[in-house]
Amino acid sequence: VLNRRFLAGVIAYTAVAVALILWYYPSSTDFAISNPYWNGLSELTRGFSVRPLTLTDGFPAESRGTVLLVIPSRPPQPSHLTFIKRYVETGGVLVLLDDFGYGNDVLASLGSEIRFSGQLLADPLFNLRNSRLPRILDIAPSPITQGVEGFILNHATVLTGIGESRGAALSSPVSYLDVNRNGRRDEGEPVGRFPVAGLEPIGEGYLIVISDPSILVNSVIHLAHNRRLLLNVFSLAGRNSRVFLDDTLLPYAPLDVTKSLLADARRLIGGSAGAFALVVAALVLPAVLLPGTRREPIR
Amino acid sequence: LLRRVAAAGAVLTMVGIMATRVPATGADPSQPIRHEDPATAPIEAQPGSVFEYFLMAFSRLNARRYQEARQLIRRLDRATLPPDVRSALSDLNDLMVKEGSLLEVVDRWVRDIAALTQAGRTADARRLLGELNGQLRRADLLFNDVSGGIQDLRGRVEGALAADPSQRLAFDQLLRAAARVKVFLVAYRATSKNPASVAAIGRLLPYETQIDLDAPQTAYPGRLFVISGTVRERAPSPSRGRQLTVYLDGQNVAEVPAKDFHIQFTMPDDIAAGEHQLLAEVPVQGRYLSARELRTIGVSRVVPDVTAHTEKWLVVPGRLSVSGSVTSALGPIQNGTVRVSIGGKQYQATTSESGTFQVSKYLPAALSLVGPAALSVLVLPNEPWFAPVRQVRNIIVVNLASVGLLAAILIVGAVLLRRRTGRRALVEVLPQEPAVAPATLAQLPRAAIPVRVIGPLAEELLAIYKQMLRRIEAAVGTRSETNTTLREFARLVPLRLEGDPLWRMTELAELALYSPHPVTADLVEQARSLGTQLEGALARA
Repeated sequence: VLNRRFLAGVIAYTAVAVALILWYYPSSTDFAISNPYWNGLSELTRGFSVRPLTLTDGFPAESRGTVLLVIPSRPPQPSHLTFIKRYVETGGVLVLLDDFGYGNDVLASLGSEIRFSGQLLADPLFNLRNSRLPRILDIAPSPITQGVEGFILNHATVLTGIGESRGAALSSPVSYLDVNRNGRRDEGEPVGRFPVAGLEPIGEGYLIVISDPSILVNSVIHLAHNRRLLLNVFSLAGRNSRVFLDDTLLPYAPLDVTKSLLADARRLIGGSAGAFALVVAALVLPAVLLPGTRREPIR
Repeated sequence: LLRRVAAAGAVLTMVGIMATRVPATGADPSQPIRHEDPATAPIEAQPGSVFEYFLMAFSRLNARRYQEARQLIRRLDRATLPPDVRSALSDLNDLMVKEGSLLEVVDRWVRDIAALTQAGRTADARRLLGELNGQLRRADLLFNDVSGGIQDLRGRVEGALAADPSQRLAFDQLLRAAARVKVFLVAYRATSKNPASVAAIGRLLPYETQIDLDAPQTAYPGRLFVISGTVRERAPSPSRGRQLTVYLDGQNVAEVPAKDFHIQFTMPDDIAAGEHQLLAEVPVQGRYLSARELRTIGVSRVVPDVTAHTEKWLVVPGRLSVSGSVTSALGPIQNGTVRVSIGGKQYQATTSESGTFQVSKYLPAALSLVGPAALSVLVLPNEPWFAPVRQVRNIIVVNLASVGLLAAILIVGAVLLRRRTGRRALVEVLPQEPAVAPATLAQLPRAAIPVRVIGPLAEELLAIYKQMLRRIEAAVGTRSETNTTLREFARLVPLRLEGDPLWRMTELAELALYSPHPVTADLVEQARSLGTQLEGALARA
């Protein structure tokens, strides 16, 4: 009996050790909140206290005063779209960032006319290092662009259905859509100022559309006035707004799934019900597991 | 065993580490690259595109949109270009900005000379004409520098131009646009001999349009916004049918005839607080040039003051009572919605005419609500010009259900713990010799086997002890239970004799049971003697 208990203890210890390794081992997945590398969101998470939402029923009960970041890299389920719609219609600020993903599904479900074009925006003149990193300098006065003189995108697309005059930010007049992605402008490829950010009221809330989710990643967030732009976006929900990131539509690796499960477990334990269960376990388990002396009768 | 455990741990650890190495899935593999590391991204300058940009600036100059042209040129400072192109471009930019300013002045003076001549103020017109001549000479010289700069730039980006037909085309168009400016300058110089000829040129120029706009800097959602102003046309006769259109964030909000105007419209209820763009625009019509006036207005909401009162302690289940008032600089907030939330429960109330509110509701038992909890009071005013306000207070919740359950579990846990660890054990006495070799038994945990009595003397001593136990049970009524140890039993017996023979007998029985030394005949004799003493005592009692 002692052997079995000992073995169970060691396995439990190892499981905890593995869980700790998985918890602290950094992810390298695109847009992962625990990814500290150039393509991760660790800086955003730290800088703006962004909380991940791993379950659709984890949406804040009161959406006013909150911001929800959605990067739809995977097709959203209809129930998920319903949650998002309800969230924004009841006063939440939805920030939809997409380039070549499934953002149009979300926009259609919200009844917005804005769409992501899905074509690569290139700017041969105003950019960071090459035309795929366009520098956005044409900024219109809007609540999200206050104090923003320019920002940088990274393999972005553009918005359609919004009109040049309604865009909060536009690409330069020499920018174009690199339809065949060959890195140069070919005949027939559209040229001109394209909207890359927009703001639209939906119900009691607001929808903010940005045509590039990469603006959030560690290597881009600090460039130009990108951080200022995000700060304005988050301030739209109020001074002390809470920011959530919809984790369910992000790209994922098994490590990210495990981390997500561990985070859920941590939240569960951190709650009062979990704390209560822990107290019970701490009281009952030693009584059950401690090796007691056998009582034998005198015959 | 340890080796097995170590191996299992190592395997589990390896599985964990391997899991960290599995690549991401979920994204569509056919999707294009979504980003690249800016720190290591290749530098790919395309300086040829600068000519397209210059072409745009020149087209603005030709359209007499001088300010826009200057803005476009200044923005070139932020273009990504090779160092040699950048330095050449920097000089060219300065020249272009100066040229644009000179052209703007020339344009204005030509109009002024025409107006002065028409008014018969020939002397003033001649004085201005002298200044115009100097300005035109400077503009002409500067234009030569601009042309030289463009050609210099072309030499630096020749390779890029050759490779890109669209950029080559833009360069050719730029040269044509520059030539038009040159023609403009030559024509002015040729005609700037006397005021009459300048006036003749001036009469051929398109008519300028200007919008004077008066708009408040701040607006409130749902409230009227009033703007006024004038559309001025520098023309001998006003245009007909031209409209002034006003846009708010690109949305058409008003359209009126292009003359004196007074417009009022209601700000949308759902307009976000912050900066917004107000644009008044008059389109081009024949010789009448277009005009636009852009203003940035700030939209803000009045933030009400919320005063909420509640107890610092809350007992659940019990009554939650929150009261308070909501006021603002514009007066009390009437008919506003007040939402009080705690532990996932939400209660609603409405503010009175004096802005006060009262929430008094029964909070049912809930295990999740215990300890420090956040009580949120959210006020949603009815009028769109007021901002929603949230106030969060921390209170302590005493949950009777949780406390009761915890106490019950504490008691059960304590009882279980005591039963498991609080006693020494009695032992089973086996009269038979053990069938298994002692060496094998000795390897097992002591608690796992009953103690075995070896030897006839030990058996005899224990037989005496057991006989004495039966007599005591019969005489005194104290019974030994299955979980009673020998010493516990000795303490339970209400019989105290000189020399305590029962205790000594108990010690002898323990020796027979637990001691590794064999029981001697002397010990058996002692036991028998103690037994006799006890029997006598029992008989007397």
